[in-house]
Amino acid sequence: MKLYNITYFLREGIQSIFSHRLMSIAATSVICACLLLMGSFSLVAMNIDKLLEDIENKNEIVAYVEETFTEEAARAIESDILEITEIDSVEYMTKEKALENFKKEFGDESGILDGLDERNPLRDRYTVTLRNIHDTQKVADALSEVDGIAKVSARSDITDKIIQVRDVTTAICTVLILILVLVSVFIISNTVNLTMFNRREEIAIMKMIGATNGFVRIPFVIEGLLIGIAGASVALLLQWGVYEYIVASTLSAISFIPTVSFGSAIWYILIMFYGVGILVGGAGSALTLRKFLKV
Amino acid sequence: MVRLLDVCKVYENGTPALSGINLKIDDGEFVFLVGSSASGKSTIVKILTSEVKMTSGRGIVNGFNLNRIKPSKVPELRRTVGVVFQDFRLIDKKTVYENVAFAMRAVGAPPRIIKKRVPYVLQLVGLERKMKSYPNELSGGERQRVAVARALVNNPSMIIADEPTGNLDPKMSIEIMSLLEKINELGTTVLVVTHERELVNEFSKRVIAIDSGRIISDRTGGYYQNETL
Repeated sequence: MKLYNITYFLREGIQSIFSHRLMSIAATSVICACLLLMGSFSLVAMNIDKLLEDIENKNEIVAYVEETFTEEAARAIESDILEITEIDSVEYMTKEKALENFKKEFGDESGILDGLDERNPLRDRYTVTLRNIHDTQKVADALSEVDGIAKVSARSDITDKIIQVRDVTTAICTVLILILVLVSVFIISNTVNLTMFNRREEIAIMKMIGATNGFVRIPFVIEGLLIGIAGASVALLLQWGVYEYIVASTLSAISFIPTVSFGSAIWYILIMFYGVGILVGGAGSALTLRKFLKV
Repeated sequence: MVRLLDVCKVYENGTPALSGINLKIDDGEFVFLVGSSASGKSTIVKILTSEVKMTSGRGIVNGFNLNRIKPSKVPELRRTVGVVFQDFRLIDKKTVYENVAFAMRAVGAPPRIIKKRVPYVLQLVGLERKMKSYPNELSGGERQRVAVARALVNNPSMIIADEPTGNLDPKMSIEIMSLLEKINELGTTVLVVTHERELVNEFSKRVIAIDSGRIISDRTGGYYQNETL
């Protein structure tokens, strides 16, 4: 292809966006709306995932040390515990510290625990976090094997539930996002179809003059690509603004809910928006055009 | 150059359009193809530009075999035939200059050549002052002259004008015909499809008459003067 053709196609594609202003705005809006829907859904899914992950992380196993062990002996067990490969981190806590924490949890009513300082009923303990929540039962079993561990407390029933909920939400979100992609492709291809139908006369004229299919197609594809990129860009900005607003105004008020920052999701959103935008804009117009080229 | 040999066309819905058409037009000729509406005139034009395929028979247009032409070669055929339509078929969003230049770009002409050729052709049809106008700012006659310029700009060996004066008043119709005659004198074959008898009678040219899909007469000189159709 000669250089003057490339500049011609580019100019033609860009000019055509402006000379068919209404259709361009309509197509950009449709792409933008579909992407926003997809993006919003993905962000909701990400937040649910993050929330569940957070709950997972809080799900620690507590291993109590034999009461007969001195603090020194108790601290010596740590190396044994660390030999369990599934463990992410281990934290040792003396019974005094444990009691202090216990009191904190009671807050104003900690008075009922007052008499306990002299005869602390709590034990020294290790708080263990896992790399993978699926290993809870396995690690609990391994911990109880360790010499010096009297008792292991692990709520494997709760972790099983969380795993279930997370698996189900991931599946539902994936299916819903796929459906959204399909619906978007359908809506967008219809919009492109409408644009083409509006300009079938123009296409027929080009063909009658002796233009090849490629010559007719390229400006349309460039136009579609640019509209796809524009739709993705607008959607990205809107998504960003709206998301930050929602996070700042509502979610942050409920402090115990962890939120995904837009920055950490931006690559996913960026790739999805521009990928889908360019694909449906460019490929959409190339494919839809085929029908109108049969003159 | 056109050769049609025993050409028949039956449309997919069963409508017969042409039967046993034999047609021979040599380079440099000026020919009227006349007939009432639905007589098959437009079907002949569509066959010549490979817009529709003939059902049977054989045909050659400017060296392209209509029976064997590949879809990828159809644009090349069309570049040798400039077509002018009754409804002008200009692109409303483009200026007069752009409408004509566009036809040159479609065949891959370099901008340098386009810049020289388009003003020349627009001058030939008398529109050099309207280059920057848009089609909807022009009169019917002017629009048709843009269409003629567009058909002419790639130097086709033949121009087919399908009812070029159908939307024009008599004075403008004569103007367009004179323009086509001038183009013919410059060496381009011209085929004018029309049903306007007065117009045909104004010019003493070869007239081929078609009725119900058959050629009923082919002679030089005003056809309508002697027979009714």
